[in-house]
Amino acid sequence: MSGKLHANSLIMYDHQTDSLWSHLVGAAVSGPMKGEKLNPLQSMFTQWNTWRRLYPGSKVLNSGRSSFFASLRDPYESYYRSSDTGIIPTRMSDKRIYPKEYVLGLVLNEKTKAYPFSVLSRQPVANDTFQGVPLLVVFDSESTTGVIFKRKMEGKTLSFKQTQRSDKKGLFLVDDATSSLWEGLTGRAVQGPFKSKRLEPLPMTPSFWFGWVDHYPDTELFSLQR
Amino acid sequence: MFLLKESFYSLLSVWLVFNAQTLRAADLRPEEIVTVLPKDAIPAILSPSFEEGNKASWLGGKDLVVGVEIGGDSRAYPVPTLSRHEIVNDKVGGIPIAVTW
Repeated sequence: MSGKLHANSLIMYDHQTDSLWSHLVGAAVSGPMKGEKLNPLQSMFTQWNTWRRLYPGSKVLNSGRSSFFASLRDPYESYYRSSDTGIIPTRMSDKRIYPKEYVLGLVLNEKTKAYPFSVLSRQPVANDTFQGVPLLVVFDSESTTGVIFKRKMEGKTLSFKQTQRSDKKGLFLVDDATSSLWEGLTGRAVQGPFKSKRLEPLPMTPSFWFGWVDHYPDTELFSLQR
Repeated sequence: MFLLKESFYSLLSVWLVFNAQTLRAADLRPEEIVTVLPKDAIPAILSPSFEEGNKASWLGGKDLVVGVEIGGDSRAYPVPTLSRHEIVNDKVGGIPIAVTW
């Protein structure tokens, strides 16, 4: 870690060229690699119980501490709850939503869109379209976990709605074309004609709104569809 | 130092080290980079080690993690550990990644 910030967001350096990189954008800001970009990968920001249920064989990063110290709380916990927006005055202030609200940030064809957790908790399954790409946004309120997929399978654009399954734990969906049953957070079909198919996940960045909008001032903001 | 850390801004994303085009949508200004701590005052993890999920009894069910799954290799990065290191350099499913927070 470089010890530096850009608009309150972490600046990293690489050991090979000492270039400086924005971790929010994934691009080099200065140095020999300036203008280069890292490829974002899909990840899930979730609770351990939820992750373990979805991926029972998952390994856990060793904290490098004894179990007593490993269980100590996150040093930033009070910051997450406070209204502080970093330590540098924000350049861009967009008060459409609370600055410390979590959003899922999406970059598609160099355009950006933010999906606020408060909106997703009221609409846990959203069939959206952005930059001409049909998207499925799924939000599990219990573990405050959001994911985004392309809602296309075998050339067909699908629409999804949530379904109640008393025999299964978690969030499940059905598609309008085949009524296959899908596990919402992983995008895997578990029953029906699409069984064992998987929707293509899109990389996204969970962020506080103030940090996202300060780096992407032209971002779109998702609102309730109904 | 403590105050700085308390009000520090964090966020996460997972990046694959790979060359791609410049992102024009982002408002990045090198002249606005500020130094708030000495280099490596927050040490990145360069050689991560892992334990089996069912043995990590120190991790609570509601504790936040960043989860990554590539080619059947699934890993959880607990957020309190990410806060103390901010960057984990790892290889998942044979692919070099950086988990950043």
